[in-house]
Amino acid sequence: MLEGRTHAGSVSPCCYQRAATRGAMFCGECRSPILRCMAYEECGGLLGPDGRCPVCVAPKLFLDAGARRDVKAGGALVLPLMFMNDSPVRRPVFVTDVWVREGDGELRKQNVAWERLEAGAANPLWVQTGALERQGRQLFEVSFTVATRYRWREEAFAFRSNLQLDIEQGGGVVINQTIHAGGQEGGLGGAVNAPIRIEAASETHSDQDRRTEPTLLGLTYADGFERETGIRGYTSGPLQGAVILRNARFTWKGFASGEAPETRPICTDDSLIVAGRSNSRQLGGEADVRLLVRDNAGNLDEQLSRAISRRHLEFYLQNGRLHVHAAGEAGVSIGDRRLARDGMAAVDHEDIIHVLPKHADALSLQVRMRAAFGEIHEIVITRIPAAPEAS
Amino acid sequence: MKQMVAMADRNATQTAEQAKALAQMIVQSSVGVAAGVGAAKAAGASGGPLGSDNTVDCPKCGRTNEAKDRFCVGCGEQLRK
Repeated sequence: MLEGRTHAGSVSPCCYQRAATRGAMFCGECRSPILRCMAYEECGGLLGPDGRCPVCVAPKLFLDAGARRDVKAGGALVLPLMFMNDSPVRRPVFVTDVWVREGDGELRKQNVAWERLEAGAANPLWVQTGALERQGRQLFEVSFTVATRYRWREEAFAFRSNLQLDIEQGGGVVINQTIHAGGQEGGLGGAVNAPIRIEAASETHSDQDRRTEPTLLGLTYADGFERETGIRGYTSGPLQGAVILRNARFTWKGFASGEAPETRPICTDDSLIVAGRSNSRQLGGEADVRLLVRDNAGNLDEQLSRAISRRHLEFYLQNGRLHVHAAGEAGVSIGDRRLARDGMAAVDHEDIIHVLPKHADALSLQVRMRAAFGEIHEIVITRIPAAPEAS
Repeated sequence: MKQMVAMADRNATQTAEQAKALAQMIVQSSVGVAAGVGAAKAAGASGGPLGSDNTVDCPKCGRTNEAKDRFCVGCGEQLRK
């Protein structure tokens, strides 16, 4: 099903061409589902299964000029880092967290005074290692979270730069690192070693230990770190540690013919699945899933159905979790949790969404997820009660 | 910091280049539609579903597709081999 894409940033040109057609859900050339970025109308980006938009999320990390080492008595190395937003469109990103870790030590969260990073801009952050040995090798990693935001939605991703510090006999430091020559951070480009030399401090030539040019540091997309820290995926419940892939299929059960979409990922123009009283979008309405209250015999309950808004709730994926946005006036409830209008909440495996909180038994949607190897590849949403004519 | 400014400038240039590339893509897309007329005729010759000369209707969902499409952009149904 994913012939056209193999990795974020490597979506086939044919998919980009077809995505420009309003309402296109599959590529007419290669049949790949068209997975649009939540900010597609601004960025035009398409997503790989990991959900990263290569247009919106394009961080770069530099070691700025002025890297200084002062190791007179097992001193520390101060690294002046520069975080850059290399997005080719005018979309800001938000660097929400930065951590450093030496070897297999504890993660140390850094105090960052800024968060917003405009496209093309770079902001500084100085991080410091612990006391370095006079000679030898130390591993040092810098991890950070980059979030992209659009309307009420946010997607966050973690990146890591692994640095290997070799302390030379003469007092110099070589930072050994690997960067990807292909241009895509964490992508499939060729990996090359790119050592950075920082000369030892000198009492007579104190400036000699300062670098004069910023140096690009290699970045790796840290999906394992995302799960470990709960940046993406479920942090509790039966699917703890599992992440919903962006190409996960939604299967609709218990719906009358024509009232729910075919089984497929979220391929809509706004990357939402809209459920409500309205007709489907294809018929000029607002909804992808039609919600009407019927009795056991299948007769329409007009009064209760009118309490369902034309655009009542929206399903979307955020940070590897399924979310619901209550768009209708009546709100919804997820189990016992009431969600007022414009409220948002993550939905877990086995959760039951009551469409009308004041009439909880009138119409509900049960959510089940299927996972393998920590990745959720199918979400099954079952209408309760099922429509009598449902397949 | 000068390096960063230079990089930002280069980035702006990339944006302009991207815009050109996008425009080129749109042009190519138009050319593709025109080229698709032949594909539609080919589909007709092989007994595939037919719409107008430039389009083909999906037999499964009824959506009108460009004649060059091998699969329905609405449901993924195969339109021609």
